[in-house]
Amino acid sequence: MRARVVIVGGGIMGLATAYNLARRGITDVLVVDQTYLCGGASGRNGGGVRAQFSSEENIRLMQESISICRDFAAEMRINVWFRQGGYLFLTRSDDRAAALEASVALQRRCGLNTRLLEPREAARVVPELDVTGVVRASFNPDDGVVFPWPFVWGFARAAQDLGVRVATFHAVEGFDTAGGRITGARLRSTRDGAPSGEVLTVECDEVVLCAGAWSPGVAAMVGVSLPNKPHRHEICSTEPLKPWLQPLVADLTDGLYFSQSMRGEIVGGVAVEPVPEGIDQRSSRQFLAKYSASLVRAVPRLASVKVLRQWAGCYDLTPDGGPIVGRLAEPSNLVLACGFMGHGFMMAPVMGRLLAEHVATQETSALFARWSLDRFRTGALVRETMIIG
Amino acid sequence: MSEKTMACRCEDVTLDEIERAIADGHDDLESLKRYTGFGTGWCQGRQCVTVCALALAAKTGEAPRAPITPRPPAQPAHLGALASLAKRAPEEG
Amino acid sequence: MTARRLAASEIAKGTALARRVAAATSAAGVSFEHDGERVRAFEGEPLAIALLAADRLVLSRSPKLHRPRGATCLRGHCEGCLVRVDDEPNVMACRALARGGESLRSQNAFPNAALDVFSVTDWFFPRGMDHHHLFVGAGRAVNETMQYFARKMSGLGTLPEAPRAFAEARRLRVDALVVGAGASGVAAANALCRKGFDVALADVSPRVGGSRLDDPTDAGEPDAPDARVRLRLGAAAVACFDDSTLLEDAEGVLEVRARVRVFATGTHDVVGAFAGNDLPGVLTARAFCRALCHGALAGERVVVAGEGPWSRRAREALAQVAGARCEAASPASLAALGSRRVERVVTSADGSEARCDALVVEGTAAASYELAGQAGAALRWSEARACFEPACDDDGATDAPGVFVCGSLRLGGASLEARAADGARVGARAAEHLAGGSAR
Repeated sequence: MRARVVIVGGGIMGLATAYNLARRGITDVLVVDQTYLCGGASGRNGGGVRAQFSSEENIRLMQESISICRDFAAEMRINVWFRQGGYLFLTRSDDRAAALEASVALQRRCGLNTRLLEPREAARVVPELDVTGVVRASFNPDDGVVFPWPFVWGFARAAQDLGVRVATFHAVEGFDTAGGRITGARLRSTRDGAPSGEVLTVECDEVVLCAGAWSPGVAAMVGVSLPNKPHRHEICSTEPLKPWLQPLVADLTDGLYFSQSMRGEIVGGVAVEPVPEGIDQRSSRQFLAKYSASLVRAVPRLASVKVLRQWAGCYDLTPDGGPIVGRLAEPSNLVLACGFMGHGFMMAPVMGRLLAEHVATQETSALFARWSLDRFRTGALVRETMIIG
Repeated sequence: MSEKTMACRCEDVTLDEIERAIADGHDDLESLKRYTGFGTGWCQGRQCVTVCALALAAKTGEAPRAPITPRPPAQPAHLGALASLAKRAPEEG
Repeated sequence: MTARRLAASEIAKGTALARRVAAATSAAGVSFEHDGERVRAFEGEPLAIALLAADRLVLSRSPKLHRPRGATCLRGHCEGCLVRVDDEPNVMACRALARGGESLRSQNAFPNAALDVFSVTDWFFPRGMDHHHLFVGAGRAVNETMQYFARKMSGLGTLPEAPRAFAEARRLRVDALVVGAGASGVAAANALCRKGFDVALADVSPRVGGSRLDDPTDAGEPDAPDARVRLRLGAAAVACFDDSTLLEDAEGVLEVRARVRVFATGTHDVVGAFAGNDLPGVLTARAFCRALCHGALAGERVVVAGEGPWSRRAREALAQVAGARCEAASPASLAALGSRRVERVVTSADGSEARCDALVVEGTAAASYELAGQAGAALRWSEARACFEPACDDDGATDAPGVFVCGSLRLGGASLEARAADGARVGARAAEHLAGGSAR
């Protein structure tokens, strides 16, 4: 079997890249995923989409992602339930408040409608919120939430309609290399759980690695050592309630965030320390306890509301909080797109365009140069502080 | 009320929708759950997972090996009751 | 009136049913409000059974299509009886026990569940609502308008008005926790206790006995747990983690840490797939029997579909009720018809129909594997039972260390004696595990 481009990872990053490659005329693309679509972080995240970041590059990229989200349903013919209810960030310390003020100033220079709020103003945005202890808040009315799954199906279906092949339930077992290049990817079926059956070799010209928390393991197959680490993050969902909560509320101090889904559930998470490193998608008691306590403190009226379900997925954490993107020196036909912390989902709509451009033109933009793996060797690290959970 | 056969009552998913989703390629239980929404409502699959597994077996000739992941809680549990687990408390004698 | 409260004089004297009903109706009379009307109940009776006895069948509307919803399983395994109770949304009325003075309101309906104006939604979507492709082809403005209204319509209950205080979490450390106080769970707890281990036994019901409590043809006393067993009744096992099991009772959470967990969680009744299977008045056979034990007759003209232990008990008990009529329907060609509640049932392949007030369905007794699965037991499909079940060896040991399963959870429809014997066997094996006599 042959494909011009093999994309490892059928999450939203890989599928958005495949779709954008196909739109550029590169349709001989195979996307490989070890489970079903939405089996990884793309199917397990909270669906937040925001431009409130602390670095200019993230702010500008997310402005474009938000614009893609607004058109997605009409263009891709599948509802993603993008609702711009805003993001309300809370801080509970003077240090955090100062950092928030600086971020808001930068966001406004970039053209966002973010407002810095006093606690009582935050309570006007969400009257049910107990703002005791809150020092400062920020609110951007253009941020919002989506229902993540249809994004994945939308990109997959549109890419397939243009000729892209998507192989779910296939794990990459290794790569064939020659002359500092990858010449083929070796796959096996995972339909019956563990990889089994015959090895399928796919000859290829390019490999794009979009495997999120699984990326370091895949990169190691060609001797590339990545500094990003998988880190379990958990989410919880309540019984459905009639709509009462407009924005996604995020507390930068204890890492709590929550929003109301299109079905009415309160969906959110919280930072839990310490979480052992590694791929782990099991639910924990520690998370359920801390999330419940943080959420009820934030909105006391939720005390008699019931939890229906909790689940876990993996963040893909880098040492400096920035992603690892771009073509490597060796293997020279391996393009990385990983290390997106916990916000790869919201970045994928715009990253898919940029990655497709990078693969198609072989040119490296200034952004991709800044986000290269090389920065951990040269010390030119990036800095993003508005990370939740 | 119109005549429908419900596969998942909690999320209003008809058997017809389940069968169409399977035909559309969502032919493993986890994908089928995500695409149709069965098993994501109040009962978290107690009522519907058997019905949907049988529908899948009828279409693909093979029953799924395992159910959708049974995630905690097994019964709806109050946030306010769970909240105090975050504190340390003495053990009952 | 069709569903109603039975008078003692209507039940054949000296029967198990007569004794069950006499016991259930000896409690003090209380009353509560449902959508502004007063409903009588016996203290401690599940609210859903009092509503059924008052012929108040339609309790809410379904989330998207606004189809009428009513109590179906009466055991906390479905969403049929969700109502607002005082300030709390989405309460399972089958689990909430009447104290008197409650205010119940139907949800997701205007002006009420019976009349709901949004029930037209059901007619607009004859094959179901494909929410993925709703209004995607008409441009962004139309799509955004659809989303605006979809959000307005979403959700079931409304946010509580006031915070509710819960008791602090309690903690309990024991050698063994047994979940489910039916015949097998009691036997397992007793087996462990008699080997000298500290055992907790929990059940969501306020009484020991499990399925036997729902049997209108059996008024026998269930086996009692040993006096040393720490009995936690009215406590639902809500979650299992590696190192902890959470129970929730009327006050709050009880966290149990146990070296061994034995699940005797039984089965839940699945209605199955047929047209109109969600109509109010369609009940599982066990739900019908449970209501009957409380003196609530779900219908005077009853159609029973399917053969099995609970439909047999339902028929036998109905024969002891003066004036009650019972017909049989073939599950293969079953269909329930009616506008807001079941009025007619297609009883055979030739399309013949029977008028009725209640359709009683045997359905599948599906293993209640959720807690065992959360505790780490592997789950598999059983061809014989047509449901998923925990994988275990002959002694009920699963692949997860210290996790055991017994009773109808693993055996399906076994006799009372067989389930009790199984509980004793699995309890003994769990005791060996605690004593260090087993690799598992």
